[in-house]
Amino acid sequence: MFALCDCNNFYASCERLFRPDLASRPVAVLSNNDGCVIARSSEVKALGVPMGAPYFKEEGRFRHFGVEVFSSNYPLYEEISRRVTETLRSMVPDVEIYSIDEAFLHVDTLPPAMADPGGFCREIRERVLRWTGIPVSIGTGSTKTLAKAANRIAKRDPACDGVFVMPDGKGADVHLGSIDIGDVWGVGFRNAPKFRRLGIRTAKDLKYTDEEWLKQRFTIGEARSSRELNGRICFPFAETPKPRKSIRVSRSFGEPVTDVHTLREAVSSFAFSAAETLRGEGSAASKLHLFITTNPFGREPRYANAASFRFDVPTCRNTEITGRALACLERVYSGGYAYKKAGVILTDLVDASNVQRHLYSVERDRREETLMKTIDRLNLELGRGAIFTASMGIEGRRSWGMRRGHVSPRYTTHWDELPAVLPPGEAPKQ
Amino acid sequence: MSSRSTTGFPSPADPFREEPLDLNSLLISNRASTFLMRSAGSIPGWSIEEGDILVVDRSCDVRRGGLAVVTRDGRLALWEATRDGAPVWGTVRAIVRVLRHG
Repeated sequence: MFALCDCNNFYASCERLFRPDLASRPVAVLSNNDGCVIARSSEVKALGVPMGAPYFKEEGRFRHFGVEVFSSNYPLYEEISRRVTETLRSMVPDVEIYSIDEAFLHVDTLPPAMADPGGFCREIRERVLRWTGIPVSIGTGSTKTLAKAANRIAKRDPACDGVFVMPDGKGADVHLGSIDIGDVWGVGFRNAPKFRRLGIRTAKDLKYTDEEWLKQRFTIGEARSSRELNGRICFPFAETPKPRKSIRVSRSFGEPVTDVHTLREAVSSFAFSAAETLRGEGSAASKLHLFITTNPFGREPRYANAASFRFDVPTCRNTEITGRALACLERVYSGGYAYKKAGVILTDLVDASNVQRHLYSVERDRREETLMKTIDRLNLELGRGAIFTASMGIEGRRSWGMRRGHVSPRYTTHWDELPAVLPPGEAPKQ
Repeated sequence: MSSRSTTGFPSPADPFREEPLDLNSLLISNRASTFLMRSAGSIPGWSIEEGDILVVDRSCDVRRGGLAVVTRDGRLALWEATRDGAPVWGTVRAIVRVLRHG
């Protein structure tokens, strides 16, 4: 049996953790650059603000309803996510992290969980809330797709109190009938209209659709979803997540960038960050892509271009990655445009420990490796941005930096941003 | 000089190797539920000064007479647990002060 644990409105819940005054107030979190709404507390959802709504469109409404707005604070979310996972692992040995706010739990090997799945999930829920302050919803089912559907019900139906156990067999039908086809795991919003045209409107409809017919009309993926809804496992538990196929660091600039120097700083910084992620995963990249673009919707002259470079030997070194990214930039840069966005993408990733080394460069490699490790450790210990390459420019002078007008403190990762506690006053009212 | 990197004789101390003391093991019993905070004022009864770091654990129960972080008027505040049952944010397990003049 699988359980899916999903943090409720995760980013908004993180923002509330050290701000009790926000407990019942509407909270919205914005994407990088304060572009659009990426997390909404239940109060904001109730206002009808859709996920991904552009911030500038909602600003007036937010002010009117007193919505507390935050820029995304990933250091905080990442750290709280780690705590939630650690708490889950204290109760369930097999935890598969699915995303920053979701994890599959493999509960087959736990007798108390099998005896009373609902009771066990409620215990998990209480512990996560108590230890980390984050409310979660948990759904269980005999497959991941059923657990995902159960989670949806746990979250939507207040009577569930955050936990729903999907019954096996025909018992599931009444519940699956309430789930829209577009909300079935693996179906995706793009295929939903086609399903509806063919009369398949709910998860239950998909469950009872012939597999061969599905394979002909759709893909093997949809056939698998149907099989999973029938309780047959297609997606087994996998504790170790698949290594990523690519690493992408790209950003829209706060202000349009018109000169090549600023663009170089931005590209250096993206390359540095991508290389850091690469090393963190123990990977090396064989290919580097760089792109720059003006605002595609603007009235100014438009320009977009991209360049790639293939490394002879897969690499994870800052010097090489930054150097090649800058060389690509020189190839595609064209003056006279106001650039809105740039990015560095590393692809064809391989396990760094398997990389064939050049015969004569072993000693240089070893020294470079020590340097990279030292940089990564210092940035981990002293906070991001403690060590950087000179071509990245100096923070504070970076006009291309992210717009983050509403960012909260990095409460859990910086000594000078710890939450403050007032001295005792009167005893709190009960 | 760790024996792991020697090429000659293994150290006779090897079987007695122990981990050096780590302050985390003293101050933190549950990593997932422990948060660090900073005192915004001094509390003479507890020898707490403004700026001291408070080690706050959400997983353990506050004992009568203990020190807790509670929610007061929408802010986090310290509370001396004079009775049971108050809604606490976490329990203060330790107070850390780094002497700046040292």
